[in-house]
Amino acid sequence: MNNDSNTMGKTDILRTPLYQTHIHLGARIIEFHGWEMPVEYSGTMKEHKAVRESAGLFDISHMIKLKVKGESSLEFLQSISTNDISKLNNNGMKYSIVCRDDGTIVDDIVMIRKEEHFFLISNTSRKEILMNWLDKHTEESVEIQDVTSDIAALALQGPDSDKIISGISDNIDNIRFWSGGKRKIAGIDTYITRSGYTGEDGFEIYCRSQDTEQLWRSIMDAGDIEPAGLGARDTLRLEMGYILSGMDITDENNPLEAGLEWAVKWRKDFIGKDALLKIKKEGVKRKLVGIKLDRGIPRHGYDIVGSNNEKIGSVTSGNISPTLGIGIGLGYVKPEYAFIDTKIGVLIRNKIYYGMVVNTPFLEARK
Amino acid sequence: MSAGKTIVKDGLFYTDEHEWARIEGDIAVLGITDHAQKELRNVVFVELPEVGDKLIFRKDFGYVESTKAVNSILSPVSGEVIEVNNKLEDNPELVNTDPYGEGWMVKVRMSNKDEQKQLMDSNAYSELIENLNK
Repeated sequence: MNNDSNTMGKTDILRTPLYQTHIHLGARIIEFHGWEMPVEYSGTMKEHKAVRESAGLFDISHMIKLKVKGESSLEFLQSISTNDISKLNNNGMKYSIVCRDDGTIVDDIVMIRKEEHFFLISNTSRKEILMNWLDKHTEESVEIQDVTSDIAALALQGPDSDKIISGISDNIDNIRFWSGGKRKIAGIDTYITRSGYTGEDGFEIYCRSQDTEQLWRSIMDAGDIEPAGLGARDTLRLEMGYILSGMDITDENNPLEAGLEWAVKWRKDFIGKDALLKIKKEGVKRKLVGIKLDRGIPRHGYDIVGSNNEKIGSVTSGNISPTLGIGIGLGYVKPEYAFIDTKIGVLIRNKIYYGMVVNTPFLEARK
Repeated sequence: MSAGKTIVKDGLFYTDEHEWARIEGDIAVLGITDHAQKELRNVVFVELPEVGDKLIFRKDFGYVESTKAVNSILSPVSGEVIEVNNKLEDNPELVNTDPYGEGWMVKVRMSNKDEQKQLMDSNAYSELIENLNK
């Protein structure tokens, strides 16, 4: 057999504090944008199922974590991203998009308002692009501190997550969906948010890197939990239709064609607003849609074709849906094809595999 | 977790790309090895040729997809496909659960028996696997 996928060139490879833990668990390690990360342990299908039915624990320490400090940090973040955080309470969280003047996307980010600063979480694959952009737009009264290597992050996801964390921490009920708070978990200082990237109830938990192994063990010992890797993280988010920066949104895309207008607040000013207003008025050139195939698996880069086998777009993300047992994907198509039930095909190794445009999430949200 | 020892079956012929061939007379049944399925972990789709298609020694004859990647399968022999395991269409996981049995892929009428000499027997293949696992 021949593996057709490419491997990246080796530079300085980063490891999370849990690298040895992953090795002991028998993880298969891959290089993921400069990090050696577990892609799967027992297998993506089993890990995926555990998260849908009980609980899975992910090491997400590779996510970029930034502290934004200074008296004008709120104004700064309001100006560089599309969502409105002016009314965000302490420990509130918001998803937002950083755009260029022409409306194209630099990256998507999550912001948490903390007492002393804003905490930003962004994508490893887009780090350089985002950091360069932020540097260029930072005023003197704003300080951006990269704490990616100082602070580790775990994600406990699945319907049993609440029960598990409640057993080893206090006042977890007060942590509502998309908000956070400082909590001791099994005696370890953490910051915990009720959030995730899987469509299930769950938490993202931040701790000092030296406490990570102990935190991982304490959580694993607190319930019947499957360690889960990047493979399951990707199939879980895909089933929910959640976009991945660097795949479904790149330098070429704008939030409107990506279906992210809900995170664009027209009542405030931000970089790229004028360009986006113009695009909104004129109409987008393509739209991100969900597709499912009768057979075959759509994957990143494959052509999407219309009824006369003409190219109408391309797949940005795709895989098997472990829950549905069919190939699903996201991709951009010309707007006239972006309607539910439109018949499409995907060109896979020079053969057309038929399917249709469907609503996302591919699964109903179960929250 | 690569649970359990990698199985190598006696009596089969192997390639260094982890395909196997069960050869009887001029008929060969082809599949991928236990080592290969363990590497893939979750086989989620298998694309096979059709009856009548010609396979060429060491050239792609199909694809096996895991949750992670698409891998081509190289043919251990040249010849014409006379049967295809259609069960893999709905049950690709048979490649994981029974790689040398129900997970077989195609049956071929061989056109060049000499090619068999370039394949490994189970002893040679076992040695290759042992070296890989070192």
